[in-house]
Amino acid sequence: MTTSYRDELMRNLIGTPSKTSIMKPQDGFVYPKSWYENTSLESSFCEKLTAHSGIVYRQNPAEDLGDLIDRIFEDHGISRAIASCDTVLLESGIVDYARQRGLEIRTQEEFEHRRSFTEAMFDEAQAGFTGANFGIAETGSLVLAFNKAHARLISLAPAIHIAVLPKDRIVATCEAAMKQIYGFGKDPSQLVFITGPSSTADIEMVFFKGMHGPRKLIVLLI
Amino acid sequence: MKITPEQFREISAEEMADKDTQSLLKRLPETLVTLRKTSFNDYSDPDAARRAGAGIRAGALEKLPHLLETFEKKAIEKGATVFWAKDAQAANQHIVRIAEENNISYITKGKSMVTEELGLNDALMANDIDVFESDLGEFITQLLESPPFHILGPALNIPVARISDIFLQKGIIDTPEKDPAKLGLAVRRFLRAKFQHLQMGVTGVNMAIAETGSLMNVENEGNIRMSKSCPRIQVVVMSLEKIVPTITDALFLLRLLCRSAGGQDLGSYVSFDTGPKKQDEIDGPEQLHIVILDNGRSRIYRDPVLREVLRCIRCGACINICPVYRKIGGYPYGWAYSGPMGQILTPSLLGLDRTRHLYGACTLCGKCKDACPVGIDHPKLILNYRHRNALADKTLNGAGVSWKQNAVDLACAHIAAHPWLWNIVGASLRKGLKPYAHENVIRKGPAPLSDWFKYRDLPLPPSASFHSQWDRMQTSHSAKIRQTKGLQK
Repeated sequence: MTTSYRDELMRNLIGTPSKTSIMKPQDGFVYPKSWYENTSLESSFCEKLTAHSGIVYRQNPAEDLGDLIDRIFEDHGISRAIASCDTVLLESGIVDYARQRGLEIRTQEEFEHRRSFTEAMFDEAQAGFTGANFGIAETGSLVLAFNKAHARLISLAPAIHIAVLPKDRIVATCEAAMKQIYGFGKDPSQLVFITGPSSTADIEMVFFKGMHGPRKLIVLLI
Repeated sequence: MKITPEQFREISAEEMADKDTQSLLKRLPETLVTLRKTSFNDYSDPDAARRAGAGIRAGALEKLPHLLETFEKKAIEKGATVFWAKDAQAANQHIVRIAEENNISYITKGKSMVTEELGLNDALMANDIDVFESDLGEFITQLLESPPFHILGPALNIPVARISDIFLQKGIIDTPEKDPAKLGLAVRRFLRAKFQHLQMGVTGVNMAIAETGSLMNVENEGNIRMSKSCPRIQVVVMSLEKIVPTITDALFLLRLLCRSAGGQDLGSYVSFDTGPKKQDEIDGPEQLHIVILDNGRSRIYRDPVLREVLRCIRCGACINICPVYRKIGGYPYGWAYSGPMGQILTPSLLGLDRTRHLYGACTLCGKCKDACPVGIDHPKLILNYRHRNALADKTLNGAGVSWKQNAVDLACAHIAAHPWLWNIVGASLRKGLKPYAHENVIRKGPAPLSDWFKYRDLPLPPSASFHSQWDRMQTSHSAKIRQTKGLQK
């Protein structure tokens, strides 16, 4: 039945005369100005992210990463977090720093079954800890590509999402980020642009944060 | 489609008398229009951006069969299944079958207009499968069993007290609550329990990308991400025109979509799904089922004038700017698609005989056309529907006009084509209608014209026609000149 309607449909669609002329975007002027006016990627990223209610922490040169994590956990009253095992987060060594300071962080590897992992994400974790593949200066968005080392629920189910983003991973546009991810035969099963915390204004146009996803989005720029 | 032309007028009148509706309509559309316009200032040439958007959509439609085949091939390669549904019944049956085969007791849904079009909720519930709408606005309208009021905020017209009442009644909260954020939190808690044990999620799609076989969704709440990430089975319904050729095209339209819908540069979450989860991933769907829906669209596609309808990316810019919507709100339209978007889409899907009220309720002011980020000419399409309905067009189920109306039209055409006749009729109407005027406005007329005045008022015409006034002016003017010249001599 499936194939029969597919073929019928294709017969219907093919051979229909078309008369539209195609105008494809070719010049910079059809893109938002931020697309080609990249004054400073980092400052643009931080400015946009803050405008989208995201919280940015920058590591100042004198500060130890462990101290910074400590500060974030204290600022937001976090005591239990679950972390992904993606390369960005591993390379930053943040999870180890945090553990050395006695903060309770479990990683997704510790969960053998989907069921126990999901349960922990929904009931246990106050915060989800992930790396970000890219930051987008144009919109202040994070790009997260999910895989076996980076589960989807970590940045979605807990009330707080903390993302670690190395400064050299900030790119100008969505296109620049996507070009580095797709087309190498390993397209991620899911990829998400995260721009600020979960929000809604569905009741009487009153805006509030934390509808289904995290109430807070914290980006740690290193 | 539950609403008839008569009901359209009735519900419109009710809504125009409704205090809550009118108070919202005074604020919401204008706010969204302002946000949209401001956000388009990001472009150094907003019109060029819109033209490019039109080009991408028109180009995608031109290559539609090829793009659909490429998309299907890529999606299957990545591990998804693709089902081609001729109509709502076929799509619903397929989705119910997936649910039954997997012993599903309930599903959650992301906000999706196409599943409204399908009537999917009813089909699932008729088979004892519970449905939870997970967008906050949709969740509320589902409890209240009311249609969506606006594409972005389906329940924005519902006062908080009524939401509190229905939540109490359904056990979502225990004590009355006036704070919207706390009501939202209660829904968060309620739905989290559903998400946590979710086995099957159903969503629509904003765009389907042919080159990678990916599906894109835009949202702010996170309910779509939940409905896609938690369950073992993910079902995505896409109407066949949702396709775009490349990621670059999708990103270009994404910017236009977010700005046109809510004045955002990007929604909180934009997710791209390419196949089900990989075997070694701990979460994500094990099965990804894609339903590609026709439901009358291939018929629209074959029509060279109507094909433009399929460019629509459902941003809602036309709704916010429409002077008719801004008076009557979303209820009278009676189906998934309201405002000018619905007025051009619904008639071509359901037929002209059943949707007279939709293409009738338009002043042809053209504001929707100016706001559209993909260059749809709504007034042209609406005029086309009126024309084809009068001609009893077979492909669109045009109803035709009555012999009486036809006779009147022919008489009018004859009069308009003969100046001497026109002058006589004009003069007698000017005289004959005078007694019906009240304060210089005519609101009713004698028998053959009474129908005409049902929908329109006419300012009292001047007692003399333009031509005769002109002639008189010319005569007196030349007399004056002669007089002046005579004096000079």
